[in-house]
Amino acid sequence: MRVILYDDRSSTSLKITEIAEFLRSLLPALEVEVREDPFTHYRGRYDPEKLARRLASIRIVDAVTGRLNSDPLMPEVDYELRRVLDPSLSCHGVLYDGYELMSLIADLIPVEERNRRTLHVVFTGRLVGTKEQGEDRVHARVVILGNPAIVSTTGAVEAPARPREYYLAMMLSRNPLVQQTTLTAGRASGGWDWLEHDDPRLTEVMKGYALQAVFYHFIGEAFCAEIGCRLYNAHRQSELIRSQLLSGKLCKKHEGMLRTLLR
Amino acid sequence: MVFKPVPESEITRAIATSFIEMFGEFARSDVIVVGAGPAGLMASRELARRGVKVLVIEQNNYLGGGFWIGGYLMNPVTVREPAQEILDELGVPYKKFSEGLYVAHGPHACSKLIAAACDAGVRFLNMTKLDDLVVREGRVSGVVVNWTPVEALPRQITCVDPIALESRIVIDASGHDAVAVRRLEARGYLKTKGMGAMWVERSEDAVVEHTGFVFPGLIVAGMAVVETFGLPRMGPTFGAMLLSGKRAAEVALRELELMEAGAIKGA
Repeated sequence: MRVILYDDRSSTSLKITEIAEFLRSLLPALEVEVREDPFTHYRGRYDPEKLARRLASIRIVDAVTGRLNSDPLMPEVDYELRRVLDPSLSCHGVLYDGYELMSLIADLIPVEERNRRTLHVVFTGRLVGTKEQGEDRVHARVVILGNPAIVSTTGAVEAPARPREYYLAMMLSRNPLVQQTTLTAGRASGGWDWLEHDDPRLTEVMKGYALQAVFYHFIGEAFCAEIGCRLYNAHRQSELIRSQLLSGKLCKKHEGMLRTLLR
Repeated sequence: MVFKPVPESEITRAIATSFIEMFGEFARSDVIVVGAGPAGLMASRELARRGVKVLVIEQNNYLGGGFWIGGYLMNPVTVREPAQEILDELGVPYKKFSEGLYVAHGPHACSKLIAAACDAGVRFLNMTKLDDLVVREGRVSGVVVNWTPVEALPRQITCVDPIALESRIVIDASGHDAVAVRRLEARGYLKTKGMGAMWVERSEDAVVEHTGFVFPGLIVAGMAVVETFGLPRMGPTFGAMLLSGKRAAEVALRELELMEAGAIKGA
């Protein structure tokens, strides 16, 4: 079994080698390789302008219907081209279709590396969203499970919801000075804690999501219902912090599954 | 008597002659900026101080757009780092509120920016509303305008035709209205995405980065960028508006240089 981790160069706090070490320590039989981001690693295998146009066209322009940006405008393509050529640039404020991004990256991977025994886990600064069956709108996601699995470092900050009071405060007063004061008060109360951009806790959180990708691919197990398990699908920041940072462990059931995988 | 006696007709002649002189001179400009909010003022100022002939059209009597006030009818305006460097450049006093967040007095910041644009040589047509765009050979090459009061009344009453002003580049800095972009959309040249409802932190960066040509001859800047590309809503911080205006000027300058060099066929 082999796992290839692709770095997110736009994140200053993601330590990809630590995630590789984490997987190796849990699964010594697993061959773990670390690569640069996919656009750098596969340079020469694609036309940057065509890829930029495709990236611009998989933006979600309607969060209710999930409609994509079928006819991208020039600055949108230029924006993507700058990031294809320099993946260390961040891309805040744009939402991409998670499955389309998965498909785009899958097309870059050479055929000889597309097999059941090799899992590609792509960490990205792009915010991804999907609209699943029964959902009335697109939801931002931290992880899109599959091969390649997409793990969004921006998604870890933006996708799981913050406390309801936070959003109410942001909506009620659009003045940044008032917002800042409310934020400071909320934090001081001890109840408001969430992952920030470039948060030093990001790597630890991402270890759990890398593990989710491994479990899904090699065992077929997607998520866990137990909040104290690293496979828990957190919809709120408080849940993410609890499952990935405060607990930081697998539940008994999934520990057992891990042992099966080791055999 | 404090003031020297001057006949009323002479005052009228002074106003009319000065206006017509300016109007005639700017019937053709290098760049026309639609909207005199922070993005439009910044773009026009940056261009004019580099010797570009810039005309700003503004639908209101007053210039400055929403830059007079910071949100919820409170005067302090805020910018995030590094936009305080622009406040330094304009000589606007400000205070650091918290890490990366700076606050200035709205009227002071806005009036300084207007003055800086005027000092740089920008000319303004206020109470002037965009009616349409001049599009020639697949390129925006001017604007069609009318007086705001004329546009505000039903056509059956006013019956006043608009007039055209030509330029090599038009910058749409008309805020949420994105009037120039919407005119192109109405003609089927492009499709805007509308402002996204999502709250995403740091989306100010995206506004600056998406500032640029949306169609040959037409640059989009400021909040019109948000409307055009469906970027997320932002709070009322003005850093993105100022930096977007600056970026629009840089993009326009590059295009003008290419036109001078004959690399791009301009209007």
